[in-house]
Amino acid sequence: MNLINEPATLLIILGTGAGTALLLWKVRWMAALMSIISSAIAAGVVIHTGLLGKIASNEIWEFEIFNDLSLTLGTNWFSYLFLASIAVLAPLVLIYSWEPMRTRQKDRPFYGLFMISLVGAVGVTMARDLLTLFLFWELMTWPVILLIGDGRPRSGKAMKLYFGFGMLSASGILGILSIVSWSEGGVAYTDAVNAMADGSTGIRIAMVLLGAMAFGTKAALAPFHIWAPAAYGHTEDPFTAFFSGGLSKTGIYGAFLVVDVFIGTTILISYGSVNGLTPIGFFIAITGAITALIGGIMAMMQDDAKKLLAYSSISQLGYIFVGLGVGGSTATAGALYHVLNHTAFKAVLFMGLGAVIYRTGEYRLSKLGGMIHVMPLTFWCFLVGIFAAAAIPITSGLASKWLIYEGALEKGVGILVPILFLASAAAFLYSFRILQGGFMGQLRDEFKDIKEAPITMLIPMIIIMIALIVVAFIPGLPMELISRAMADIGMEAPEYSLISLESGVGSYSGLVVMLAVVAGFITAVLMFFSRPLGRHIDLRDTFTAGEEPIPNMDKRYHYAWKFYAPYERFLRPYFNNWIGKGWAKVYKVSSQVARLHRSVMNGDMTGYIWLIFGAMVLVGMVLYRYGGWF
Amino acid sequence: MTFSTTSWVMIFLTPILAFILGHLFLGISRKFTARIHRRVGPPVMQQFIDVMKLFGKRESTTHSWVQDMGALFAVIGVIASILFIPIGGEAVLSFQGDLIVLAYLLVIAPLGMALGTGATGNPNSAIGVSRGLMLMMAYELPFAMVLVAVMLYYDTASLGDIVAAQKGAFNWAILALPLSAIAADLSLQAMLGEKPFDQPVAPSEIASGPMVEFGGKYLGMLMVWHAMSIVVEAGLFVDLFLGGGVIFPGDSVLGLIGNIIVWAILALMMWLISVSINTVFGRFKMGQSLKFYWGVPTLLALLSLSYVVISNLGVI
Repeated sequence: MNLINEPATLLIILGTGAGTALLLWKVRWMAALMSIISSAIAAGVVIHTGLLGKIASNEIWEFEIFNDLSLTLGTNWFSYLFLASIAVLAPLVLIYSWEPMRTRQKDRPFYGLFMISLVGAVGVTMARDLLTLFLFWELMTWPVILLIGDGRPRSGKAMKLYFGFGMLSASGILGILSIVSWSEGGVAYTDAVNAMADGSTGIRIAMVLLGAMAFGTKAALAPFHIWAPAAYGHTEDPFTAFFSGGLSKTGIYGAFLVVDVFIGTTILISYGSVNGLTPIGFFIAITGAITALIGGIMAMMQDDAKKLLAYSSISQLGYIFVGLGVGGSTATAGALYHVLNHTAFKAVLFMGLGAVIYRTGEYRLSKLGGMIHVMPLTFWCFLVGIFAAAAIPITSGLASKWLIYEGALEKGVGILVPILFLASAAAFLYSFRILQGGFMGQLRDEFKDIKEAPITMLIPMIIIMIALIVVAFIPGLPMELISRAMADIGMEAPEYSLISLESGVGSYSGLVVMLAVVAGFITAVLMFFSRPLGRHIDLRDTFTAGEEPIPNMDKRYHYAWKFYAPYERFLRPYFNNWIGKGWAKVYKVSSQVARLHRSVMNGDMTGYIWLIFGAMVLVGMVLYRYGGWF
Repeated sequence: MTFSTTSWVMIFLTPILAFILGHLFLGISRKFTARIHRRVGPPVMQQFIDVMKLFGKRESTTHSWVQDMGALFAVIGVIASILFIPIGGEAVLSFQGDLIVLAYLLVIAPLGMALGTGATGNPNSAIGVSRGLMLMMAYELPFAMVLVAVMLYYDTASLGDIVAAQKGAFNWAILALPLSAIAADLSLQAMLGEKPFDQPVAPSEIASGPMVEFGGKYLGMLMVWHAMSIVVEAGLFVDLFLGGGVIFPGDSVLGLIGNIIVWAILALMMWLISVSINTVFGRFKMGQSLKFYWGVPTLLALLSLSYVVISNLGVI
């Protein structure tokens, strides 16, 4: 069984699912079933091949379109890491989607669009030349636009933003493609590597900037991040888990491809380095750190829970860019580890929130509250996700951030680590805000009778939750995959065993940390249960210093609006959407250019005929002068 | 992963030691504050009596199971983190998880407690927790810079190695990195929750904030957490800057006990410095604390950090 070496098989399985789901979209249960089955088979194939270890790194499968032009596909362990995280997440999200989509109005082919986007994302990780990458990239990007409009106010704006930044990202890839084909005459990845090896400094810098534009946009790197909160905030709830958890990883994959494969460590170091930290690497790392900080601080000011998680996603992806920029074995391993972690915990967070929204129809934290009393299982899954996002040691979240921190410390980058620490402090703040606003506090009367999330929504969440906790005991398990992936991009993984990780400056033993927590747990439980359990009293039976805070105390009093008001007052002036305003200026200029264009293309047929005639004359003159044809 | 007999004994003794020391520290501080106020003050053992009394209450009330969980989480977190702090030069578990792991372990207790208090449904506790978290973000910036400076200076993230590197006369980090030490002590004030940074509790404003709905054994659990976290935080400062209290050669049991006593005295000293600031200050507003921490302490920590980075580069 060597299926993945024929990546076509994988694409055919998924493509069949996508096609059927699209054709049968009016029969929703059929479309859902087809997409769940096909994506589950694809995930099974991916896992099976990975477990057997049969990834032939150098085999390339070609599909000839024209004489000279062929699409090339292949996998190595490096792209397998991304492929696996996307392909395994997809069936979980699709199963999760079953219940919320069942009752939704049939206004768009949800499953079909989902599956096309999945085919695109899988294709991106398997592409072996830039043209194929571009085609699959577009296939992945455009179906999503139809899933963004969720009918809430401003969702149209989110759609437009996504469209604009999708164009930006596409033109970035086209730019890379044209640089490579112009200098090497081919578009394969090997040509890109050669182009960078032969090219001048200018071409290399252009490559980095175009890469940031193309892939940084998808991974929401500042300053290309402003589409993400809008788009994640307005996507169909079930899809957001895959959008943020899965699709954003293709951007990370592309960034790794540009920095670590096309350009490579040798070229980066040729521009000088301090402790192995290169100027380009430092530039990427500091951008990533600032992204992490902006994302974290913006997240803690949100009342819209989906936007909060979207900003948190931006912040977490910033950490990955820090790992990528710092480079070296420890930080790169940390970045790849964080890819896996982020896929899992962001999916579970959006799923948990989606379950709450599905049951209550409310996404504003100030209107929610008290969900622990009605949806306890969802709360547990969400809590573990939050713990992983905030890197609390009882989940797998710590291992990846630990590696990134240690990598930065090894290279002596003093300024990055405090910024990241501040970003992670902001992570505690937004984590608690969403917990307090959504799940803690007093329960509203209208939500008294809602039920726990349906079983089809719970199962995917519980699977991911268990994975996050188990990996906390054995942080070396994902390192098996990561070390192989790093070998494929010519790097050596840091030392690790199943239960512990080592870096140049310290060590982290997941098992010992967890055992210490268990020891604390036993002591605390003994202390706690030495006395009888407390008597349960009503949520409204609280201390109010003898006063009624609001007349008629049977109304609830939930502290969630402007939760961090003193900080908002202090920080707002510095985070006043200046990046967004900058982009608005870009939009203004480009729309003026477009107006010029429109004044020519005014729909008047005679004008077009004159234009065509003029163009023919011009072409003819050029050919006469230079081509010697006439 | 091999532990000597001493390590095993220390793993079991450390939480008990922290429990006793924490309550002793709180008792001494109450006496200390009283003397500054020219009162007699309660006996030093009052804290033990208080905790015993709270656990002895016949009945306590709870609003939900998450409140129970919060009380548990607070004690779990603090016990887990004390095991990773070297005591008297004896690195209990600190070679299994370094400073970065510890920095995140320290968060389990407050975040868990915050969960429990949030679940009570009392808005005062939510306000208290929000203030506590904001305060954490304020002091995290200078404190992170301090941690990074120390880690880069000794070229290790392991707290055990940092303590070992400070062995010997006048080798303490407080002499090598005085500005970092000052910034760290200023951060310690908020970490310990003493005035002027006691906004999270603020008894007169928000009815003791997080603790408002906690009574009986629930309050007892939180008091145990508070007492032990004082030992953790003051002890962390001693390990980072005061050589971990290592004065005697630690290979004999007697020397180890001596070191632990020195460590405890130094930690008590740090705690009393904080308490004496507490007695003479009023309470800041939240915005003021943020401005304070992102001002002078950050500047001091940044200066010290740049000194370490530049000297590591070999320029000076």
